[in-house]
Amino acid sequence: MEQQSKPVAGSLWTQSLELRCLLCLILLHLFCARTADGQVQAGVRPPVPEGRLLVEIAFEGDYLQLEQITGRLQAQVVRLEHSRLFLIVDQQSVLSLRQEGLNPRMVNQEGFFQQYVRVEPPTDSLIARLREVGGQLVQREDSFAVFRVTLRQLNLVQREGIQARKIEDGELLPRFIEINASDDQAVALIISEGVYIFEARDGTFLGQAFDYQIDALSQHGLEITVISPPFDEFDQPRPEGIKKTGRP
Amino acid sequence: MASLMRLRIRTLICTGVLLTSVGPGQQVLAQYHFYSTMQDELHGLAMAHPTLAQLISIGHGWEIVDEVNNRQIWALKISDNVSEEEHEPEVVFVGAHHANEWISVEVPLGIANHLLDNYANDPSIRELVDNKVVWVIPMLNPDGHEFSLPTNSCWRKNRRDNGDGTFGVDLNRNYGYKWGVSGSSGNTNEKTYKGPAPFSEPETRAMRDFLRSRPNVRALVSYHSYSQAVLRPWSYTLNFTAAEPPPSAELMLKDLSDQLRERISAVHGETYKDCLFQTDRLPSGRCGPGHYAASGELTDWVYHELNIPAFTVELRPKEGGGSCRGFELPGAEVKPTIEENIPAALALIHHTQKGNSLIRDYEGDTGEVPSASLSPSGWDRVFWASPDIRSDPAVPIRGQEATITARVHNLRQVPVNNVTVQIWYTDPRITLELPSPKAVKIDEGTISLPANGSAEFSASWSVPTTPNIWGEYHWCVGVVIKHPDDLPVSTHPVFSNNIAIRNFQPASITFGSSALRFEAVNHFSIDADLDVFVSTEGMPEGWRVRLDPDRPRFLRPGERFLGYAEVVVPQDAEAGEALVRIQGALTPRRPGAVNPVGSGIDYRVTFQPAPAERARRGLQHSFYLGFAFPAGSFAEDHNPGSGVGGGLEYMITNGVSVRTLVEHHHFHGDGSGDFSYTDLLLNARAYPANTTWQWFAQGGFGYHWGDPGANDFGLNLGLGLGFPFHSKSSLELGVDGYWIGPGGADRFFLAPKLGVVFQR
Ligand SMILES: [Zn+2]
Repeated sequence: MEQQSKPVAGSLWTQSLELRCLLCLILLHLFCARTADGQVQAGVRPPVPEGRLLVEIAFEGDYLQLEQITGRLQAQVVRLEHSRLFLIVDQQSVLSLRQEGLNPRMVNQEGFFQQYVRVEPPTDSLIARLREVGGQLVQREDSFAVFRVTLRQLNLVQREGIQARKIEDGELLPRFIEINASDDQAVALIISEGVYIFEARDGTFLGQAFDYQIDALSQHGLEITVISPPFDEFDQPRPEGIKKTGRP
Repeated sequence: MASLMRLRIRTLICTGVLLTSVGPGQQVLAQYHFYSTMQDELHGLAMAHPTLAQLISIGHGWEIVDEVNNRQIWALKISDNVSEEEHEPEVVFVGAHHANEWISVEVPLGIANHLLDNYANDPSIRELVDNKVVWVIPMLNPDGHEFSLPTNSCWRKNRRDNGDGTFGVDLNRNYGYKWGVSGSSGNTNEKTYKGPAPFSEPETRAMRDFLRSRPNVRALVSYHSYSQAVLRPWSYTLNFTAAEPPPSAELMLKDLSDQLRERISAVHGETYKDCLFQTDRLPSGRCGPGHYAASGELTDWVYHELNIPAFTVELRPKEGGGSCRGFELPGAEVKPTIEENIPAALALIHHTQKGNSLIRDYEGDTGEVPSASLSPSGWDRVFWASPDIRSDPAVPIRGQEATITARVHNLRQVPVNNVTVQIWYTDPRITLELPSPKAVKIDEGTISLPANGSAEFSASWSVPTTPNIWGEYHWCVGVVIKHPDDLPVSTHPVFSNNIAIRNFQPASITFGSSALRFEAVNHFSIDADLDVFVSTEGMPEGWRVRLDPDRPRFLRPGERFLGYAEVVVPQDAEAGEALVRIQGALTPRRPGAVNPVGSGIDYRVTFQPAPAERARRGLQHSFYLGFAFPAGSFAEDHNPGSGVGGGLEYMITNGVSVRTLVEHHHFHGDGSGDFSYTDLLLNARAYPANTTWQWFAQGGFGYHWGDPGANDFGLNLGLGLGFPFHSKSSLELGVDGYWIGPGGADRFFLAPKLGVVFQR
């Protein structure tokens, strides 16, 4: 049997996508350069379109009721979290929500939206500063670290001259781990921390996790081993600075 | 604190062996379809089998590939007359919710190829394709799959741009039932990210909308890898508790799941487990440690929303050996994996058929499902009243045995043996699904069905005396039929021809000693109207006959009704006698003039009023005469004399009364003058037994005025016997002893007396 390969058309799509991304990047750099000049001190802007608002309402319903609300209000669901529904709506819909007694609350967008940003080199002082402003260290590699920050936190540290940029696709990869967990409670803990498990053998789980998850589970006394994968998640060369063997 | 913070992380050094082990090499990839080659193959199948296969797009992936094209989610419909809607039972096989589970594309594609390749030559395949609709959706996550194959065997999610630098939502955590409750993540960077909201992704919405648009879908399998397991709902919880009970169809789901696992292992001997990492479940039915919860998952939503069996099949390999190797099933194992999963898929398709044997929900039921419809006013009446279930007596009686009979039909032209019939009863306020751990199995047995005919199975039901959880005397008797070749695939009667239900509201009637019982049996081969008449001779005035209000208007063929009539006699009726004749007539429901057939039974009823009972409560008065015999030192100077008295008696309860009496006892003088006592007494009296002859005991105290002189307190105690001679009066014979001036005068006398008592 001959090796199957992607059709020409598929490659063209991919190529055109790459071309367009390249174009976007150039435009983005131009924009950033302009803002770096200080002509327009915009910072990173929340992704809410002009003229629309981010609101929060209490919501206990199921997905059918969610469909009803969003359909009726032409609302875009941003997040549903602990019975709080965050929507992007227009002024008219805010009035409708008020009339329906749903009591919409305006949400500070810069405090709500988050980004995963890359900082380098990951010096202790840089990490300490980012933690100080409330950022969460997601992963620390040799030559860079990735933080989860709100736009407010990001704009704050950028104003201080810290170079932090949004990560690109493939820059943040979880580590392969082995965890010993013999009882249901330990397994429930691993899963509740968002750790991805793909195999289990005699109380040992194989999965993938980020540094903050590894730290959290370790603090609960679980024994975690970061294992070097037999081969990498990507066969192709990794983006600069990602270790192939996890943490030292 | 320090010990809590300790971080125990070791780094293993890769061995040379591991490093040189083969990655997703060319020989592996050659076995897997890319999005484009899958699309080509589906198009090819539809073109090669234009009457059997039709390709439709049910939606698209998240990514916009260019201005006009998204990657489509292709669904291949396989059936005879494929372009028509024939309302046949449908089964869905879906793969690649997870991008890197490449083998999960190949198995549904393999099922499609198997059905279409063998249609022409294999009659069993032809039977399936002619009578069913099979939907094959090999790749629900085309964007993710395209991103994953060939080099990124760890990429699991779709390709949503989360806007924060991360990509992807775990599609099998994005469905709307129990979304986000457990086993999924709210962080965008994590592998089990559930998405911003239920059904936020175009891929899961496509699946949802597709399934909603196909009301005849009867079963679904979602293929994943790896670990080799057949999983059934619920995924969102691992605990079977009162708060999170197992699916009400657990028994049925397990039954089907076990069958699928058996068929898989029969091919190449590979074991597919009952839990993620465990061959068998714990005795409680739940999975042990290792199995983890996953909510917002497809099969939970399907089972919950569509009430049909839905399974997650985790394909080969059993173990992956670390990193994402397990998702790169070696090329040599692709074909055997497809092969071993085909018989299980065929079995599931087969089980969704209309059924060769069925228990009908109503006359004229042709086996179409559902056999009853939901209207704004509720379920169609026939849904609750399968004519294939009957009770003897027709209205079951609380606390008594009723014989439940189920009639099962065979639609085949050949006899069918070994049809298992289960008779259950269930509280309709709890569940209507059968079998169910919440229902009670009355009995089970096997019957043989004649060619194109019917057979019956009966069981004895001890009708509960208690009401259901809503306080109603209302139960549903359900019948489940099973056959090795003909399993029901739904546990709800409305979805299945193998389950029928009939409502019963057991009566509280208990036949009294005065009930006149009669029996009606329909020996016709068709329904017959039942009329019951009562005539009487010599019936005393005021008597009447009450006929069983629950008698049915008609009887089914062979049905028996046990009824009663009751002679109602007015209060205070005198003794009497009458002839009561109960006649029944059955008129077969046949067109044209038909003579009823009837017979009757005569009862001679006599009535004897019960002897008057002592008033249970109320006032009565009494009067009596008697003698008085002095005793002890009192007898030394007094001779016997006479006594007279009367009083009021108030019955406090049945059997106890208080009495107040005025009496006069006269004693002739012995040498001296006569002496008398006038007494005012307060007594309590007890009637220990409510018999015709009522004996009693009494006692109390009083004040006695002596003449001449010698007034004093006294005690009295007595026994007696009463005999009612009329409904409101009785005679009494008794004797009382008196003790006047205890510790002082100490005078004793006995007074036998005969009295008459009148009730007011
Ligand atoms: Zn999967």
